[in-house]
Parts: sequence; C-alpha cells; structure tokens
Amino acid sequence: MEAAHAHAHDDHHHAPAGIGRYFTTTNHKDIGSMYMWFSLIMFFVGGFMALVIRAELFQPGIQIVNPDVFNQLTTIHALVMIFGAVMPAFVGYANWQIPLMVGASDMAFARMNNWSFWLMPPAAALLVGSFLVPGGAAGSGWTLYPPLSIQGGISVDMTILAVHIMGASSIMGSINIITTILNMRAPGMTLMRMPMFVWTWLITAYLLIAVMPVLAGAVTMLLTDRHFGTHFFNAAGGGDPTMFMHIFWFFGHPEVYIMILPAFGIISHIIPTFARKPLFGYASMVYATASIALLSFIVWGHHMFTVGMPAAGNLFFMYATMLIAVPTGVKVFNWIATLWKGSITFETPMLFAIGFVSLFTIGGFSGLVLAVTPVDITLHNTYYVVAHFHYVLFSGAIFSIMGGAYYWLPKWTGHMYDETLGKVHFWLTAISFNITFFPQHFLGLAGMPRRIPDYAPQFTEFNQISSIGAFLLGFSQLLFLYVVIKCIRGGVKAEAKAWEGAEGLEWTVPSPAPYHTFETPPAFH
Amino acid sequence: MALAQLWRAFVAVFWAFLGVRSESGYKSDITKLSFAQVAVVGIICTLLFIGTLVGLVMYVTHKA
Repeated sequence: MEAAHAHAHDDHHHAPAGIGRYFTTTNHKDIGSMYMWFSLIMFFVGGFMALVIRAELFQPGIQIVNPDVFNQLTTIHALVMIFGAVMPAFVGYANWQIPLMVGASDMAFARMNNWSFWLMPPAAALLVGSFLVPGGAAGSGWTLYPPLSIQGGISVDMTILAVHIMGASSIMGSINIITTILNMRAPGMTLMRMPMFVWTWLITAYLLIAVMPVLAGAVTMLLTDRHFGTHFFNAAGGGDPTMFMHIFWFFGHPEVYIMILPAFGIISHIIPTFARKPLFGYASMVYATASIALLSFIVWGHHMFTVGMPAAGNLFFMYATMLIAVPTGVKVFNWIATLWKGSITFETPMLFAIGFVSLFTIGGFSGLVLAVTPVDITLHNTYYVVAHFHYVLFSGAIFSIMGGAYYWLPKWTGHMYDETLGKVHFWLTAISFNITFFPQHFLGLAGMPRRIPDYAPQFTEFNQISSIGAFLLGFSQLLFLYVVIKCIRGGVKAEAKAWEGAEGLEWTVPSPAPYHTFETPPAFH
Repeated sequence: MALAQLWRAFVAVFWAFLGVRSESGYKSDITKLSFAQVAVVGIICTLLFIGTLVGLVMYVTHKA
C-alpha cells in the first residue's frame, strides 16, 4: 500500500513518456507547447510564402511566379500568419501561462483543450494543401471577397472549411480560457488583482466568442452561394457583394484586437520585470483594454471607405476609429511611465518589449493617417496599408510573441537561453524589419498598389530595399529556432524566479515547471 | 440599483473610456461596484457613445 501510494505520488511529477502522449494529452503545458511548435512551423511556412512574394517583387516584370500564383501566395500567406501563427501562439501562451498565473492545476476543460489543438493541423493542411488542387489555392485575398471567392475553384471550399475548423477551435479555446479565469483563480486573487496577461486574454476570449460565429456565417453564405443556388453576394441574382464586406469586417476589425490585446498583456509583464517597478496604472490598463474591446465593434467601416458609403457613414467610422487612439495612447503612456526612473536592464525580452512600444506606435500612427477618410481614399489598397499592418502585426504581435518566448523560456525549459544569440536575433530582426517595411510607406504614398506582381519601374529601388530586408528578416528567424532548441537541450540552470524583478505565481514554481502544478491552490497575497 | 450607485458606475465607465483612473477612484470602484453593474453600464455607455457620434455626424452633414 505504501509503495503503491509512493508510485501514485511519483506519477504526479513525471510526464508520460513517448511521442504518442501528445495525441491524447490533456495537460495544459503539453498542449501549450504543441500550440507554440505548431505556430512556429506555420510562421516559417507563411514566411516562406512571403519570401517568394518579395523575390518576385525584387524587380518589375514577371520572373518567378505567374500572377495567379502570386495572388494565391498573398492570400495563403495572410491566412497562415493570422490563423496559423499569431493566434495559435497566443493560445499557446494562454495554455502555459494562465493556469500558472492564476494558480490553477490545469485548464477548466482539459479534454476540450486537446481537441481545440488537434483541430488546427487539419485546418492548416487544408490551407497549405490547397496549392496542390486543380486551379491552385484561393487567390481572392485573405478577406475572401466575392465575386472572386464565388468564382474560385475547389480550393476556396477548402479554405472555407479551414476557416470553419479554426473558428471552432478558437471558440472552444475561448470557452476554456474564460472558464479557467473566472472559476479557477487562487483564493484571494480577485478580478482586479489578476495579472495583466490574464486580463487581456479574458477580454480577447470574449471578443473571439463574439466575432468567430460572424465569420462562420459569412463563409457559410459564401459556400451556399457557390454550391446551393443562393445569391447572398451575387449581384446578378439580386445579392450584394458589399454585404459580405460589412459582415466580414464586423469580424475582421475585432480580430485585429484579438491579435494585439494578448500582446499588450505580455508587454505589460516584461516591462515591469526589467524596469524593476510595478506596472504604472494597472487599473487604467484594465479599463483601457476593456474600452478598446468595446470600441473595436464600431469601427469596421474604416476598411470600406472606398466602397461607397453615405458621407454620414464615412464620418461616423472616421470619428470612432480616431477615438481608439485615446485608450491605446494611455497604454503606451503607462508603459513609458513604468520605465520612468526604473532600474532598467536590457535582456532580450526587454529589447523586444521596447522594440514593440516604439514600432507598434509607428503602426498606430499610420493607422490614424488611414483613419482619415479622404486620405484613405487615396491610400486604400496601396503599399502604405501593407506597411501599416505589418508594423502593428509584426513589430506588434510577433515582437511580443518573441519577447514572451525569451521571457518564459527559462520557466518552460529550466534553462536560461543564450543571451548573446538572443540579442543578435533581436537586432537582426528589428533592423531588417524596418528595412523591409519602412520603404513600403513610400511606395504606398507614391501610389504602388498592393497584391500586384508587377509594377512601374519608378518603384524599383524601394522594392529592392524591401526585398533585401525581407530575406534578412526571414533568415534571422532561423536563429530564433536555434536559440530555442539550444535552450531546450541545455544551458545555465534557471532558478524558480528566473528574473530578478519578476512577480507572479508562475515564478513560485520550480523551473522547469513540473508536469503538474498547483494541485492545491496556492496562497495569493 | 440605487441612483448613487448607478452614477458611480457611469463615472467609472466614463474614466474607462478615457483609459485612466485615479488611485482613490479605483479603490472606491472595486469596493463599491460589482462586475455586473460595470458590465451593464459599460454596454449602455457604448450605445450612448454611438448615439453621440451619430448625432455629431448628423449635425456636421446637416450643416454642409
């Protein structure tokens, strides 16, 4: 009996062995790791497509891919990066960190968690595999606007199915995250004492539940238009393609915040840790996050200024969009105030966090430029827009993901990563990112349209600079992969509290975090 | 919800829209307001906010 008891006790501290465990695991750490590996693989797949696009755009004329394949690459690059890289990365962080941060033993619905993850690989296979079917992948752009998406081949159906599956996965993930946060916090951790990352994910999860069904509805209508004789979006049958745009962007704009709010959360942990000061204005940060989430539902029309709305509609969406800058500005102010008079050190996570604050702000400002209706009418569908959203998504979302990875790698692996290589990775990424995307502002202002494989000769120089930067940026990310693998295999032993200034329950458990943590809820003061 | 309580929730949500809250205001929020009160008033304020913007737009386009 004694031995059996000891054995059972052992099981709590040893992970099941073998690769097979990953198919059936219900452990939040296993599932979190799988999400992150999946995300990293998709990041490289989507990045490869981006490099083909940039290689084609290195000079005017058609060199590498024909225009049809070019359109397919831009479409699938975006879908892979949004649904395959950025969103799963944040869900991976949520899986690993939320139970550790709130002092829960696992996610609330552990088996559903497994299913949420295992829906992702088939969806990714449908998206990437659609290049192989007759006619190639969907080439309508990631927004799947009709009539192109109604006219496309079987690959559009594959894309619709992929979007459905990924949406179902996101909704299940969100239900899991909300339930875990609301019901499984350590005693004493009231809502207004939760870590910022947990707050941002709570709000993000509600946004996901609100808008994913809207996207599912939109693509289902596309599907019935394609195969079942309906005419929702077919003007010839009395439908309206503009309606698709409204429905799509009612999902699409909150989606932008789904991809940036968890990033705000991660940055709100890194900056206080390395400034060795508590986050300035915690309550303001929570309030600003909630406010951004509510405002995100009433600004979708700014994606459609050129579609043809009444002047009153354009004005409404312009005013509402510009007002989002207020709570966002509060956040940037709070991060800077946290740095003020702090004892700052610049480890790799901090470098990515500072890079985030500086570059995301540039993306925010170019967003304000685009929010002005008459300006947007000129800049719509130009490279200015491409520059803008890469500043918010790459130097926003991806920088926070990279920073978060360096920040929590010691907790996940039990080893410190190679600091020198981490810093090299940051500087290579930050510099090549700006070489890639800053010139695209100029291209857009000069009138170069997006999603076009060929261009007028006067755009050549800036395109060449951008392409050189893109290749440097792409290959720099291999260094990240190397640093991660090196860190998993060994390195300086990480302490439970890997960073001097780190605060929170996740730093009270040993590094690497044991397979099961907080089986008894911890005391939270 | 008593009137004073309703007013308190409106004030909290107003500051939330701006994204700023004083320490003393925040302390009184968390002791005196429930999550449900803030959520309901937050949604009402969003609708009021939309109404204000529509009103402003009507005014601007009417003048033109």
